[in-house]
Amino acid sequence: MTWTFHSYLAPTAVAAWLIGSCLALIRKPQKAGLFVLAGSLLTLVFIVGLWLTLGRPPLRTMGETRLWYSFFLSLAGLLAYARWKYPWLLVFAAVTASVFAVINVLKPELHSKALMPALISPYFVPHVTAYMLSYAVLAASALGAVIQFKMLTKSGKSDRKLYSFIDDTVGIGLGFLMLGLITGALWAKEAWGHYWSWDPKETWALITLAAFLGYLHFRLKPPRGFGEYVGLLLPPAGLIILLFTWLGVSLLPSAAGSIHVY
Amino acid sequence: MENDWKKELLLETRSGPRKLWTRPWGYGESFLFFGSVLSGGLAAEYAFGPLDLKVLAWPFNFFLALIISAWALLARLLKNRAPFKFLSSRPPAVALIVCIGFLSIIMGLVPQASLPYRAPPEPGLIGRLGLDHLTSSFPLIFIYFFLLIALGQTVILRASLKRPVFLLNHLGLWLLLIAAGLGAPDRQRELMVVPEGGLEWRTRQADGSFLEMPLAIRLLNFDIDEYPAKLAIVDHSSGQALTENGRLAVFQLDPAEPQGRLLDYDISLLEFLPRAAQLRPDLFTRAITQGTGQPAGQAAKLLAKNRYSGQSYQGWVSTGGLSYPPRPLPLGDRWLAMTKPEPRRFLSQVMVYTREGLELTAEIEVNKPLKAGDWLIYQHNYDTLAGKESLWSGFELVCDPWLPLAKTGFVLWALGSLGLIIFGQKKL
Repeated sequence: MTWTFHSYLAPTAVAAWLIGSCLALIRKPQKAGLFVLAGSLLTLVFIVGLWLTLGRPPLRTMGETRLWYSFFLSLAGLLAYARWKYPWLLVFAAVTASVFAVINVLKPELHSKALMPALISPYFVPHVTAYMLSYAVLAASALGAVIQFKMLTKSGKSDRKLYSFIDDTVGIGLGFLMLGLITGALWAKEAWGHYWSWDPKETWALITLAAFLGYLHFRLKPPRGFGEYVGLLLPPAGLIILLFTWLGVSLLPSAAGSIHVY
Repeated sequence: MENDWKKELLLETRSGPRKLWTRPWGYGESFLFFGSVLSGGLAAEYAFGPLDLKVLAWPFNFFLALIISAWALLARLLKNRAPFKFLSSRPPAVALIVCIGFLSIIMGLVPQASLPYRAPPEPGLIGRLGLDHLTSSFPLIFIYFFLLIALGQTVILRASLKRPVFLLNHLGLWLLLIAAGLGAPDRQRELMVVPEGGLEWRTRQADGSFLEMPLAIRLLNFDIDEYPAKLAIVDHSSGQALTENGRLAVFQLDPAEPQGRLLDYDISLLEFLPRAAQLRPDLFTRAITQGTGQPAGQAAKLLAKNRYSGQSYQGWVSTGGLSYPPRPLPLGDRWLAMTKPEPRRFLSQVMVYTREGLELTAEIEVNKPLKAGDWLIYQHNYDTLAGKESLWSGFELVCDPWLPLAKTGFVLWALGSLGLIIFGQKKL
């Protein structure tokens, strides 16, 4: 299965995700879930097909990581929706997954079969998938924090259930974020001789980690008043840094010579 | 403990909002405290200039690790004293994390000088404050020291087997940060260049002198294993490769899949030579080039058939080697040409001898270093002009006596991360 096939498959998946979102908004949770699941499965079929065709895991180019992100995000949104019943969760996950699928249709990149020697490693797949999973889950927690922040400014009261949603997703997302960092460090030791080199991508990954780690510790002894507002800004700030780590680091002057720029 | 908090809360509700610097210290005090530590670091850097990390080398760093551990044990004995109570509570943890995030943001924005840092003759304010060489600057070292102290006593005071996720995450991170930070001055990296067939035991230093290593490497052969090249179609008049849907149109040669399509042409791969020698302009054969330093290109015998006109073209296409130019196959007003092949493996066959009498025969490649005694040997570079026929291979030799501790930390921390995913924060 090649990228040509993606031009037909992606619009179908996007349609399924968007129909699912509408159904969630008009309170048809089961049908909504089925449609979103169908979109995710279509994406998965394409990923597996691409993997078989390329003869290597499709985790190398930006376009390929976007595929995984779409898949994980829609799936994480679906699971979180089943657990927490917030329609906005499903809508957010489905719309974001759709955006990334559409980007892949409109802005295709050269997709090569060859994997450079530094990438041929058993750490490659766990490293990238752990990060993609954490990105998907942390995006949901950031949105939850924004909604909580709004609620707090409007009524002066926060929603306990929403807090436990944000806390749970930050915990899970942080777990995957740390696993991504650890597998990356162990891999770097194998490939370049050191597990941490302050490569710009590493530095920005650490900043991302600090933002969510800060939130997690802050929630264990939540301050009242002003501090609560500041704390709720950490997940969205973390998400912005995360997106910058993923997509923007290559624009930095300090990224010249980085091995993570692709 | 529990009652203390309740009393505290009661006191607070009675007397209105609490004043700064009343115990127990909270968020305000934590941020002021670590803000001062950070400012102190900046001031120290400005006053004393760049710090040479080598002064912290063995055995000094070992004593520092002992002091940090002793502090943690002391915390166990005197846990109700204010400094211990404060440093293992949550607000300073948040403040420390924010400080580290802040320093990392500076590191992520200001291009960092390479280490060991040598101050320029007239450093600007950024350099004077250590912001362009943060990893060996006072602000980072001060914060790092407090992080080790706080983490250590948190592990001892708050961890218990009943909360394994908390224990694994904090203990793992603590061990890792001790090994990574305190161990940094003991880490040694050397570059060794070995000629093919030759034996080398010295590494060249920055000042041009040689350093004798406790091991010697004999390079038997260096090789690059390449992926088969791709085919592209080039237009005669523009000299540009043709695209399809905005992408460069390529056909990946693969002896396992000899048939395929490239734009308007059905392509059949008739013969593929990963190392080709040119006999005549239109005839290639397998090259025997090993050890000659002469790079051989790839060549393929192809049949290209235009789907619409039905016209067929047959002949050799090559990437070109050192002794012959690239060869395209003419297709009317177009050319069928090979792109530059991409490497699959960089490979050095070596024999390694150590002072202890160890003798190893091995293949070293990227992602597969060789362990010889205390040293790890990495494939580092080669003669990029000669490519796979390079007559020498460069190795990076790394010795890190603190690595076992760092790896232990990584493993515990990874288990803690898994625990956080599976059990959630309730087990914290």
